[in-house]
Amino acid sequence: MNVVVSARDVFFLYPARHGDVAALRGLTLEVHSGEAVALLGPSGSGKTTFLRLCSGEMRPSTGALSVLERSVTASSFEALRCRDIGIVHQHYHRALPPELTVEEIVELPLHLLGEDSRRSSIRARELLERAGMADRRRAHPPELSGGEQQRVAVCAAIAKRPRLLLADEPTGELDPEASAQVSKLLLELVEEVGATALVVTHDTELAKQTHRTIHIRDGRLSGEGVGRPVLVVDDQGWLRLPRRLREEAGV
Amino acid sequence: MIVLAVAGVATVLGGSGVVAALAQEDQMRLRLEQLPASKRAFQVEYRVPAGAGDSLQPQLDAALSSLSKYLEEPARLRIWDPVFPADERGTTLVALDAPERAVAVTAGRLPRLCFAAVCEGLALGSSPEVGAVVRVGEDERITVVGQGSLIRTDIGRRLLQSQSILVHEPALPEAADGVASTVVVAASVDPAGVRAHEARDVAVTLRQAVVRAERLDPSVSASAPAAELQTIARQGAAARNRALLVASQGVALLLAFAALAAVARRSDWQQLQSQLRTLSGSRRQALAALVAEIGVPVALGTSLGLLGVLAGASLAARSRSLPPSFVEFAVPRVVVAAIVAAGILALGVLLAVALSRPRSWRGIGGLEIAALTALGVILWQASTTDALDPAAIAGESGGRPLLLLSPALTTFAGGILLLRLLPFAFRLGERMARRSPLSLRLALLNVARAPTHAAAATAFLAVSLGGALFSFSYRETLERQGADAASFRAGAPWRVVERGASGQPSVAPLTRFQRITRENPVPILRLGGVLRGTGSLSNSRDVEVVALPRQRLDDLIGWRPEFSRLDRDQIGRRLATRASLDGPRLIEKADGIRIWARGFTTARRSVVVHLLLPGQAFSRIQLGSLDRRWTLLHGEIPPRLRGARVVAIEFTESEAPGVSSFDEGAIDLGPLEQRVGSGWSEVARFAAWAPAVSAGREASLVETAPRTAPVDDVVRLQLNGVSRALLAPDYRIPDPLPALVSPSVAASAVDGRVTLTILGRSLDLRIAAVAKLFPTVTSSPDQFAVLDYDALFAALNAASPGLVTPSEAWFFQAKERDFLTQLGRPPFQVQSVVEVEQLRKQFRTEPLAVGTKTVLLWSGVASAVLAVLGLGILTGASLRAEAGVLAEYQALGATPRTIARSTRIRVLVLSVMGMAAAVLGGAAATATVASFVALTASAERPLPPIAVAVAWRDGLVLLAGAAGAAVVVGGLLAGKALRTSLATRLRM
Repeated sequence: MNVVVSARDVFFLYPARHGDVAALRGLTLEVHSGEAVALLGPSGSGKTTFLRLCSGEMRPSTGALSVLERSVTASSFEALRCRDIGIVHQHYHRALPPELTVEEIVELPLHLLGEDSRRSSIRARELLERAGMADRRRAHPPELSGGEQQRVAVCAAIAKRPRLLLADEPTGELDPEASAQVSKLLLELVEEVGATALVVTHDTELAKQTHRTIHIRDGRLSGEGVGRPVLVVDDQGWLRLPRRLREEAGV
Repeated sequence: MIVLAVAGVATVLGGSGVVAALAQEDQMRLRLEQLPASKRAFQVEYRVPAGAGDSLQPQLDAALSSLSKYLEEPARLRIWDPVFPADERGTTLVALDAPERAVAVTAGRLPRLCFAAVCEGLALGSSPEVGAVVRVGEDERITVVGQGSLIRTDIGRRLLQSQSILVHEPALPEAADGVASTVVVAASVDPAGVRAHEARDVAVTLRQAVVRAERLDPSVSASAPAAELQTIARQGAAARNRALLVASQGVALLLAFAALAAVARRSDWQQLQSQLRTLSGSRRQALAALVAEIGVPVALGTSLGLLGVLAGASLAARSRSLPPSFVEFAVPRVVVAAIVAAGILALGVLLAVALSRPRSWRGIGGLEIAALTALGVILWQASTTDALDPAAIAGESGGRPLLLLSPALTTFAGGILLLRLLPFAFRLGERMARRSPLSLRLALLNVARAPTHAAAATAFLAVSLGGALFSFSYRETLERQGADAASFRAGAPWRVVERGASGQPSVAPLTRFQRITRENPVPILRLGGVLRGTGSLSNSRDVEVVALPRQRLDDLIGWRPEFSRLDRDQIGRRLATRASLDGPRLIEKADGIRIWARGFTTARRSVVVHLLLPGQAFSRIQLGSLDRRWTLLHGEIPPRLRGARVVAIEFTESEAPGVSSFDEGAIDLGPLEQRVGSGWSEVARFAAWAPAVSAGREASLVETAPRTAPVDDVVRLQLNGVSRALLAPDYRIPDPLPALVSPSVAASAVDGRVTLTILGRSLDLRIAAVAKLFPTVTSSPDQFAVLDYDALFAALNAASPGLVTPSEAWFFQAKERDFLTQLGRPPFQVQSVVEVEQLRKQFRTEPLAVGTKTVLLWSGVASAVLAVLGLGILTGASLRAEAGVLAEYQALGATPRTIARSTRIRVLVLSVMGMAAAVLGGAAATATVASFVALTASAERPLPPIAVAVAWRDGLVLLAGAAGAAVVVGGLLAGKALRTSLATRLRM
């Protein structure tokens, strides 16, 4: 199975007035092709920072981070990002250009990639149909509810059939019903296009629907597993191995 | 807003050029109209030998016809040398091309043809009379059929003799064939024919025409007003450069306004970037979208502004019937390039604002570096340039571009400085207001928490209001300079100069003015003097000598305290002497005078009594010739001389009056007596009088009592070889005379004295005071000497009574409406009248001055409008950005009223801070620019120097308006901020 996201000892420091602040402190993890991975952790643990590093918005201070087998620091990563990475933000109302219609927003990534108008339009309609937004395709984002806006954002991110979808708390500002709709849509579409998804979330319902969860605390990996973490770093920084591993290792 | 701001940049740049170009056109026409016809004439003069035809005429006609676009109808005058006799006593024949247009006939008619040997002629002057027959040859006569004068008095005046007769050229007497003639062809430059934008080309064309005309024949001399045209063109160029200077400040302000609008939209643009990136756009695509987002309005604004300017110039050209080339003159390529460059600059500034990142921890960002660079440029410019010299700015190379940008750079640097300093002030204010009422605290807290918008709003308000104050104050400064220059040039509300009998200015007798005004005129002497150099004669310099009654120094207008260390009272006291030409006065009723006298002189001499009349005029009474025997000499006193003062008694040579020879003889004199009715009374006895010094010799006076004398109190004047035998009262003339002089004259002093030669007489002056300038001395303002009128009048007339009479009459009281009209009638022969109000009006209404002041006025108004707009935009943007925070305050219990009040307070606090900074900045800019740009409103060297004036009234109105607008803006924004529901705002 191919590794889509590979992080080795990734550090990231934010410059601040009274000295630099470490958001990531040697994070190491891997995400494999076709996986839907939920990135969990308390606020300020570095989840969103990691996602931004993966999207190429920022560069790691040190360590190796490659996405889709390409280092995020490589000059060619920009083209890869545009072509193969889809992004969904928490703040959907800021992410969608209010001047464009829903259909135009979904078509826009395809246009930016040079897709012709007819095919873009067909693809946009398919996705909006799929998201249950066909009848609102002429609407502008401010005219939609939060859940609808986020569904549009998901459609826009998926439209170009990305190989990796990065979602930063996609249900963070939605009520449970809308959250469920968006989670379902997001994971279904990811599966349909055969993409890998890395989803930052606090939403346990969404996390349960993913293949794997990764827990981050204080910029480091603190747990990993399906449903419950299999690897845990306690509050003092000691590594606590699951009993199965301890027994296998004879510890 | 961006479209408007950028269009404004183009309009200000191009519009100022158009206004200046139109003003230049008007100025050119006005100046040409003001020039006497002789000064603006293309004139050719050449000799035609006796018996020869005028062979040059066809070629000159061709040359004139090629210049006909710029010249008025030429006047051609041919003047023959005197005939019969062929010397100055003879008659001069004159022929004109079109006598009916060139001659003003005062009597009779114009001449026609000849009949047999008798031709008709018109006397150019008052003689010979109509009907007279003038002999011009052995057998030729001219019958005078009319009298008149040439309308163009400037043409050929010096060639006309006392008896000049205009004849019809085809009917020329044969006598004219025998003498040579001079042809004068003159065509004045047509004020309506020369456009300012082609003045330099016309000057070159005229100069070439002069050279070509002179090449035709060695006898040809030609002249043209090329230099005058160049001067007017240079002044226009200088005024235009200044308009650009003012415009550059406006451009900077508009660019700042565009940047301000960009700051308000920055978050939108950054969001657009983020959205595009999220939606798979590459960095390049996001940047391209941003460039398009900003570039389109910039391009639109630039194009609209440029098209507007071109259309405006085109309309102006059409409405004034100017040729299409005016548009290129008004909006030259360099201005178009400047407009495009300003558009590109605006795009750069806006992109920089949109893409700006947080500054480094040292607080030095791109803007700071740019501001420091701007300050460096200004300092460098200031250290290498003393002033914006008219000669430099108006020179062929034009003004220094960096200096022209100084106001813009100053504005920019000042704005950035404020932008960085204000956040500290905000934080300080917030700390100090922690115990204040909630609304004030909230206002200052919000300002301090997000100081970027607040600082930008305040800095922009300060810069734009400062710019407006600068414009108004600079305008006021130029207005005041015009008034000051008028006062300085006039010296008095009215100044009258008349042509005296000798051709020199003389307003005596001053009593004539009593017929037209109740005010006694103040007599003034204005004479040319030569200051002897300290080293050699070649160092001599011309000095303007002015004498006015020292008591009237206080009334002088145009004087400034900074001209001299001393005040006028002190100067008056220092100029004071006891000198006065006040000899014994004849009784009003006296009708005759007599004197016993005898003379033992080499030449036969007559006795002449010199009188000073009440109006400062001189007269004399001849009493008869001296004899070796005692003779009672007497003379009648005509009524006009009654009441005059006897200022001297002279013994002139009878054979050749006025020509003196050295005489070693002596003259005995009894007292001078006057007749009143049938009795005689003594006027003066001469024992206390003093003989005049002449040619270095001095006569001596002794009291004597000859046995044969018919009267007592006889004095003997021993001539001792003097050239002029003259006896005068002791006028107590000090030697040297105290004088107020210019620094350059004072610098020539040795032992505190200088020696001036005035009217051939040497006069020692003592430096009593020094002044940088003196009103009315304008031709060489740094070369003058000012004396007390009585002292100089006495000093010059004591030895030569009548040598000088007052050259000017000054009036300090308001005059009746018909004063000028009355001056135009006999007995006045006015040479010039300077009326200060007229001068002020002239300076105020000169097209270049009006153009400059219009640009300044509009620049000020536009700055003020931008200030209020900027305040509204940024505060609005700030409130939008803080909508969520304000909603949280409300959710926490702050009432909407408190929040609204805090918004109003915030706007008011920012406005007050901005206005305070504006007042300081505006005053500093006015002082700096006014002293930098040493030009009057009409682009001439200022005299007196420019003094900064603050436009208090306009400034207060502006500040009150800005404060009022701030209150309104605050109220509107507060209402708008709270109009949206709390729930919606909490979501933002």
